[in-house]
Amino acid sequence: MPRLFIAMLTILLGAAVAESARGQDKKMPLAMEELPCTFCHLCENPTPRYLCLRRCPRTSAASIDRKMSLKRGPDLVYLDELENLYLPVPFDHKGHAEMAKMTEGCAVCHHYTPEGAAHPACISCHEVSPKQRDMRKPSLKAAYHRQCMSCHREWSHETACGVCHPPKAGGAKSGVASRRPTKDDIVGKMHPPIPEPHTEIYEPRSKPVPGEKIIFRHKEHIHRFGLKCVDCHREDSCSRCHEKGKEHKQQTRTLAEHHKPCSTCHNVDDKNACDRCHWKEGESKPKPFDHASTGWPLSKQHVELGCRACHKRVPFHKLARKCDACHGDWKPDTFDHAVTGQVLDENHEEADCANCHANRKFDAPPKCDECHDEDDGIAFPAKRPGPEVIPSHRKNDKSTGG
Amino acid sequence: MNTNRRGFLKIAATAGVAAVAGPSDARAAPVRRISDDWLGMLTDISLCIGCRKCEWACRKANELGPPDEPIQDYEDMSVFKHHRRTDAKNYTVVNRYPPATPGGNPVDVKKQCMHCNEPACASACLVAAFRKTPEAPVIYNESVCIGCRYCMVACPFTIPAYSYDDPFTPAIKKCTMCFDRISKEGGIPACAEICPEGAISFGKRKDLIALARDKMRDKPGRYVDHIYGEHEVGGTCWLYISPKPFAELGFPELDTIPRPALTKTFLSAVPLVLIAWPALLMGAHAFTRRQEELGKDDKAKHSEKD
Ligand code: SF4
Ligand code: SF4
Ligand code: SF4
Repeated sequence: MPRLFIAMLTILLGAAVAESARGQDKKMPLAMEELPCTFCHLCENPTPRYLCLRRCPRTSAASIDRKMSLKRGPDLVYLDELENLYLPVPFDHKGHAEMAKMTEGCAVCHHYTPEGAAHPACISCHEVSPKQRDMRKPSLKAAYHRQCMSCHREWSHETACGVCHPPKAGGAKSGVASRRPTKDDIVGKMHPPIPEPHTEIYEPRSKPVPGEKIIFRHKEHIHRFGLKCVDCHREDSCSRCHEKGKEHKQQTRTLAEHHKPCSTCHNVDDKNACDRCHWKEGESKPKPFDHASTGWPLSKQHVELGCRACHKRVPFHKLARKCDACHGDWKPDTFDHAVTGQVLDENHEEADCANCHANRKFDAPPKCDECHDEDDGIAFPAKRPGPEVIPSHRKNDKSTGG
Repeated sequence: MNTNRRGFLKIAATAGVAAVAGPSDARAAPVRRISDDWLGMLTDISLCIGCRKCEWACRKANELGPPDEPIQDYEDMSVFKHHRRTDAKNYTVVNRYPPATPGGNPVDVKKQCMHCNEPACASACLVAAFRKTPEAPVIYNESVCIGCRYCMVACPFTIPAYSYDDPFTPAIKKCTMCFDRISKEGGIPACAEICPEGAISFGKRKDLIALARDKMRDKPGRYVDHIYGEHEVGGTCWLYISPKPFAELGFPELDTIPRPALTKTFLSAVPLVLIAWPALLMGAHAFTRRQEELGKDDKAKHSEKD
């Protein structure tokens, strides 16, 4: 039993006791001897005139899971009744319902559902105003937060408001726009970090073909391509990892469904491209991605970068083959020329880039003839516009020859 | 034990009234019996998540910071590295302590003025800058403050803070239980309003004590068996319940003697002498001694019980 919900209100456990006390016959009244008097009565010696009954109706939470099926529940619910300092919370109902299935079920949150009714909205009992008529019943805000934090804080011991609450524009330093947040704004942000798997070679599980293998380089996708776990594992059920020891049936899926996580970036319909991932034992393994195959081999400065440094959007698109496509913002006063190994002296430091790098083609040798006469013998690299230093990206590199 | 303690409190309260009600001492706030109508606050430390929103709301409500201070600034948890005190710009601060059980959540404690039933700050003040209102909040009139800082010395919770902005207009500052807000119909203190967990309840002190007891009974094992502020220094209007012993959360271990009874003898003695009332002074002193003994007695019994 995961520890997630240990912190749940004990009254819920009480509800479970009440449920088991009812046994098979739901008409049977609560078995009194199984419950402490204080479960219902607030005072020690209730009298018929002064019953001092608790107002909390949690005991009626029974049988909720039999009535409610996960499929009928919504995928996403906007919690926006209290929107004030933050934007509404896009609540991943489906994900949470799946998690709840592993513990006490829907009643973990929907603790009160009268017989034959749909779940009443939280707001129908919990008052919006923090000035409570009944101090024993949490306000709507408190009810939400206690419910969420009882698990969310259990994992991380952190109180990170921003995980669920996208800030309003103007309020945040991050410059997040004041738009209605979507599930993507939070899904996956909350999950504690998972160590990346070392496995690279997998066996096809749905239709095993003897000797057929699949390669998937987790490290490459995470570190080079800059993907997050949820980018691919979006549809995975939580129980796949969290219900350890339980046999998980292989779902029957169509080929398209099977390839869905890959198809965002890879053209999975191209029959000639199967061998990028699929291969037969004995043949040579598919090679990792090499940028040279795009016709643009990466120079030393670029080879260490993650793809996202230049290709901002997923799936990655071809960029214009111009330095300016990425380096359009290089200007004499913002670019520290020393990183290239060439310091500019005071005569050159304010010159426009294009004066030496014709058409801002930074990969071509610089030209001096824009300002200097070649007849005077001024040409790069015989004459330099300042002292030479070790370029920053080669400082730890012994063989500076390459 | 309980009867003993209540009996003692009753005696102490009645005696306390008798001791100071005699001379109509205009400088110190009148000490009155605990009223059933007194307002109060209850912080349930087990619910606090250390989000520091109460700090933000308090500064905003009391105009202690820039008017458009971003709430996100208060998501910075690095402040918990050091233990913080309340000051003239922060009437309330949240401090973080290690978990009650290994591997559990850290324990966060919001600190502010306790609004003592019999406030030492008020009785220590020479110019009656502090006042216990009939509603219970202890408020102050900073314009009469002469900057003597007796209140800072007298307060058993080290709460009043001195505003150093201007040396010529000294001002003492502290939580007012948002007196202006709660004086309005339906108003509630800013910290209680913003608290996302509902960890701060606002209501009548008497109801809050009942609420605290119910919480303890409803969730056995969740709280230590102590309502901090119920009896400390004669009782306070800000109450706490906690999952961890209070002594481990920076709460001073105090007896049940109202502080004015103690401070009066040494802080307010001079003007009394001037009015030449030595007999009363002697009486008050003797009374305090007696109370002290009673207090010790009470505490000894209490620890025996523990
Ligand atoms: S806690 Fe300190 S400042 Fe507040 S009322 Fe008590 S003595 Fe005065
Ligand atoms: S009651 Fe008001 S003044 Fe006191 S801590 Fe809360 S917000 Fe600040
Ligand atoms: S606002 Fe509430 S939960 Fe947040 S730190 Fe203050 S008392 Fe704790």
